[in-house]
Amino acid sequence: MEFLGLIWDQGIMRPMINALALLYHYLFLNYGVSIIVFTVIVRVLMIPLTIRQTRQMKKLQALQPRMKAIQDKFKDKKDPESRRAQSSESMALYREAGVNPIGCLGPMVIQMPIWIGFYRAIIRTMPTTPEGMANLSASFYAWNPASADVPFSRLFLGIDLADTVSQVYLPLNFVLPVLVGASMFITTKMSSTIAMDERQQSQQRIMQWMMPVMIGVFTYQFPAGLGIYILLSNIVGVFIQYFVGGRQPIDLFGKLYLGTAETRAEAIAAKTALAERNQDNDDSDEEETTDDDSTSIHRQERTRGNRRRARNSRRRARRRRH
Amino acid sequence: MRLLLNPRQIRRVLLASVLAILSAVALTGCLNDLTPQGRWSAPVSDGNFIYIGNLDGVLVRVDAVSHAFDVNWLYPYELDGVRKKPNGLGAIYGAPVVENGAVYAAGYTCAGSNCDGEVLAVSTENGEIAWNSGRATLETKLVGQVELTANDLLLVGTGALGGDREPPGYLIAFSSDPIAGRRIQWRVALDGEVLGDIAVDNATNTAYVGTAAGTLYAIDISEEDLSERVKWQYSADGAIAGNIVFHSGAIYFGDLASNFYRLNPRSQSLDWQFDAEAWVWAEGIPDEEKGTIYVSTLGGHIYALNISTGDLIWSNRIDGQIIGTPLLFDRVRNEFSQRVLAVPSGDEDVHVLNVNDGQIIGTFPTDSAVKSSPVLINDFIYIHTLDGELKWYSPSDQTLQGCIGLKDGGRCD
Repeated sequence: MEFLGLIWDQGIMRPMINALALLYHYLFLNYGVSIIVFTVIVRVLMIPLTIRQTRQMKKLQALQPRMKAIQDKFKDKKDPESRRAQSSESMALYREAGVNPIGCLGPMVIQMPIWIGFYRAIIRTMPTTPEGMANLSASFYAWNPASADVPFSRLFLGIDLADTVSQVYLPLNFVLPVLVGASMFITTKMSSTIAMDERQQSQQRIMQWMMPVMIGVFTYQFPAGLGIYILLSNIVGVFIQYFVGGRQPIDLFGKLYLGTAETRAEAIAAKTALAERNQDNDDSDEEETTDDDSTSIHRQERTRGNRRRARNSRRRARRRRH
Repeated sequence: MRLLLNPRQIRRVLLASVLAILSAVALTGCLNDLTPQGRWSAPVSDGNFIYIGNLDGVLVRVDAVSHAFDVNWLYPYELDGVRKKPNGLGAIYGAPVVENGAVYAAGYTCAGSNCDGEVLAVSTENGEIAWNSGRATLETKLVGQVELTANDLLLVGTGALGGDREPPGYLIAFSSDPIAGRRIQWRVALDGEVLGDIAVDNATNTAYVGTAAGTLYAIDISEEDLSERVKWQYSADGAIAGNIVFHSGAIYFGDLASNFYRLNPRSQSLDWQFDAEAWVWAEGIPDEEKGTIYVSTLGGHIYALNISTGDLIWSNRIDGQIIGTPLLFDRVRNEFSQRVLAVPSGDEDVHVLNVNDGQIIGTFPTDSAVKSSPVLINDFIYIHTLDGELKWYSPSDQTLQGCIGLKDGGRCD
């Protein structure tokens, strides 16, 4: 554990703290500007990881129909033999496509320590307590001229960056968490694949709402500097994801934004295919309805809802095509 | 705009939001860097008792002879029936000052930039407020030690008041007189918050205070009603976080640009400046006999400098940051007296250095970090450790003689 702590401190925290401090020293002694520039630098440096993650996700998405077919094939077979067969068929499919099912998590896993380190670095470079200030001295490299600038000026656009967002002046104290949540929502939307079955769709929808709400609520109690960093990081992330991901349109509340004519048409086709697939599933569900009354009523209601949604989606797609 | 969630999913999102709020609260609690911890307070004694600020921000006292914890004397407290229950201020960094039958100290706590500080004058007799007009509360940070002057002023260096950004600090003068009571006599706005102790030259009615903006102020503390109290000021290269020392007509202090300075207050000019290689937080220890001043840093360096010229005599380095002021004392062994320096380490232990060559010749084993100053009281060296214990040692052979937990008075030896 001590070794891991050493790696964390020396490999992540110290370089980040020193980089932030150096930027402060050379960028007009303005901590807000140094956070912004550092965020952009980190995001740009991580573009190769983002590209890798995007490619993996695209490959996985392309495999979805074939995966669904395998799932359907073993739908009613619960015995261990069938499960093993399903698992090996799935793995063969992944191998054939050159995809690691958890491979797209790799870049995310690598990014996590960077985000957490940045979060800690911001807090540590803006100490508000005597012990925080004393501890900061141990983080500076001896050659870093910025160590003589401590304590850093924390004012940026009239905000004390060390204050919690809740303490920032009105209405920014409420606007900032909302902006952070909204930008996180767009980021999550952009980075999620189109789920093939209803259960996955439902889980995805929950995740798409839960994460932004969580981050928005957290932001209210975060130091303002961190709130600004998350917001900016999301905005830069949206731009990077947009261009790295081949200018895919952003689907927000059923409407498509941005994207090229080609990518928009692709997205519409994918949505239509999904809606039709849902329709087919609903129909087959209806035929199989043999449960007791209450279950049957519930399922029928759900089916009606799904059908309505699919119909609406088809209509919208048709309108767009015209 | 159409919400793509059914009622069941909305319930899940709501549940997740509640969890998120709870997690946010928990996470905020984990942000230790935002909460002052204190525990840098050194013990002081009036001969009968040893007074100290404990890890909860409560002033407590221990009998100087029996080392018994006085459960009836503590401040602040709340009454639990008739028993006093400690109700801490948050963090006490400076050593208390015992004078005129009262213990003076300051402590504070902060939530973000909202701080609540209190300047205390507590009767040594019963642990009750010594000021007639009650407690003195200030919405600010109170880090340095309070300072009593010859003309009955209690000087306190602060951060910004009441959540304001400007001015970022003050020097505030209270009346220390119990009858006149905690009235603010005057205050001077400063360009940064005060993190260290104030030095007073009673002969010239001048207080010297350093700020985090790197300015050393010479402030007139005379009783006259003055519109301008700042006599002069000096800009250091970095923030002044440590204590200011006034000794034999000169001012000594260090900064966070790794310099140590000697100023001449008469000419208001720099006598000499020394590059200490790391931030200087602990105060310099002048040694009149040897014509030396000992300077220590957060990088663990200890330097002996010629007090007149600032030239280096020797240097050494220990593990850990040196935040507490080292103690200069005469170690008597086999009837042989040797002047030594006890240097507290932010890692662990207090090291004993030979002042002739800086070699480490012994260690007070503390089993915990020490960020307070060791103190010699009644033939024992007392050390307040960062884990909230008061330990006392034999100065001659550094053996542990006793230990008491300052939270509840339980023995830990």
